[in-house]
Amino acid sequence: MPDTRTDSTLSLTNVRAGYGATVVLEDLSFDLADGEKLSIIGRNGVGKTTLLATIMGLTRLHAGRIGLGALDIAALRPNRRAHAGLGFVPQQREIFPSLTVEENLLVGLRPGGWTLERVYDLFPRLQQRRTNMGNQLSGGEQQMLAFGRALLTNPRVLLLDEPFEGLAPVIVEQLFQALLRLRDESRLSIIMVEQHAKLALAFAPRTMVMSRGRVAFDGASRTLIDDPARLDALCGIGGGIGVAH
Amino acid sequence: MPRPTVRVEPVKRLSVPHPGAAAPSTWRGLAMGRTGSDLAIAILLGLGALATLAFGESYWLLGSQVAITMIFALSVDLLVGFAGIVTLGHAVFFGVGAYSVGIASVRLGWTEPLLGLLLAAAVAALLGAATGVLVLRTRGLGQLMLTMAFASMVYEIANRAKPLTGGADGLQGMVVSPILGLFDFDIFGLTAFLYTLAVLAAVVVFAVLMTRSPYGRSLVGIRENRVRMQAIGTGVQKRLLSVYTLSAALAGIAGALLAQTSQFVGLNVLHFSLSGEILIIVALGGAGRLWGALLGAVVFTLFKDRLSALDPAYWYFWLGLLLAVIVLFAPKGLIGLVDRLLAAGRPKETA
Repeated sequence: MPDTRTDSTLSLTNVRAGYGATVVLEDLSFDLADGEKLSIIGRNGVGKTTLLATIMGLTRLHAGRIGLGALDIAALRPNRRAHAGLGFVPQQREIFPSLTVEENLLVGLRPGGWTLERVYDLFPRLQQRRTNMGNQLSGGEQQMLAFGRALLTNPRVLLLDEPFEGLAPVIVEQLFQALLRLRDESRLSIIMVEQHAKLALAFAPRTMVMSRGRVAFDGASRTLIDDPARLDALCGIGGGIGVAH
Repeated sequence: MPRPTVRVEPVKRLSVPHPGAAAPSTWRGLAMGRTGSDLAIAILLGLGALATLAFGESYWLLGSQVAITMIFALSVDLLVGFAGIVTLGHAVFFGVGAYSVGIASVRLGWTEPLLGLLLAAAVAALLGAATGVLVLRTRGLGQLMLTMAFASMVYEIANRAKPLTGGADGLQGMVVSPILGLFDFDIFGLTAFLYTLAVLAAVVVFAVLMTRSPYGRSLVGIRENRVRMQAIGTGVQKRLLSVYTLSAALAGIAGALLAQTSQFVGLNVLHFSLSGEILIIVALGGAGRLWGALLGAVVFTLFKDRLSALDPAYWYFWLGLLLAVIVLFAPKGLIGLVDRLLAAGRPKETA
């Protein structure tokens, strides 16, 4: 029998990618274990979103390997990658405005452990709003919907791009609770790109800090929580504010 | 160092995932809302059809034409209103469907009407799949140009292939067998009317189910955000090609019905003006709403008939004026108007 190691769900090896001829990610590598949660932080413009887009196949890959389980997905189109097990919650949420909440949820449905009932259990608000159109939702509801839609594709790895951006603090709190529940109770691997270092470090035991398209730090979140000075140095002014006090 | 201040509440367990569990009720709750107007129009059209059957002998022939236009409009709405594919050449599938049954009857002696419909659907679907591969590589204006180009080419082929199509004289002497061997086409057009109504009903049921299915919803998703649909796992190009092919087949069925009920096929079934007209009908009714397209087809065909009777010389002017007025006052089409009427009649909801 060949060695079918499943401990590494997602692995990037020497990935160089960007848009057109422009390279945003330089020689980036990391592994994500099955069920592992990873936060990615860094200044604006260091390539965090580009990293998620590259994993999803929405950018131009210049070099490197992207593995999902035993599969090399680097040459696959985005829809094949989704089928292979990637679920992507984009920064702009991208709700379909003329579908209802429930239709938005079901449009990408693939069989698996995640069902409509479980999503409604996680986000009761969505159930209340199930007949509303996508364009009638608040920002927080849209974000819940974007989560739910991705979960119902029953992915192995969930990619979250700045899920709390532009939301009121009380909504952020609610969403974060739901995310923690997801973290603690599901076996999903999750990568969360986040501006707020506080939330990012609290979410995942492991944090990666990016700088200019490379990995500047990859280790225990605890290390950065305990060493605000280092976090500040890595993330620059503002990045560590949430932890510093 | 204080822990981040986010408090973790004890939470109830998520229900245990069980991979083999029954698929969630995918159909339930799909396409809710919006149904009030649909229902109103369905009832209105149903009553209209019944009244025509009971009292409108002289309108039976017109009734068949209306039903045929409705099927054709549905086929275009699936593309334009749902999947966001634009076309200025959909008459090509209508025409090819008409010529398929016409040629089968006149040249080959195949006169069975229901098999004729299948043949027309198959031929139109084949052409749809073949041209769709090219048309769907482009978007917007590119699609308009390509669909028009293919339609023009087929029009000219039909014009030149006289031995097959009869060219500009049309295909004469078409014979259609009784439906199911029982119902002969009569001169009053009753059989034709009932026949087209039955096919229309089947097509409407099919289209309603299809657009409410996850497949149909995914078409709307593609129209609104192609990249997102791809990112949640939809093979966008394949899906667009499938709906293009399906739409072509439905248009082919509509064309075949026209050929069978009028027992004649002329070049007009392939003409550019028909492609334009059907697009106008869909916009008039309200693109993206099946019942809008159906209502649009009825209103347009009846207007056309009445106006050409009232003012045979300048009826196109009056038609244009009416369309302009409707578009100005009902930018979301006739069904938008129905939405507004129903909303006005309903007491305000308190959320």
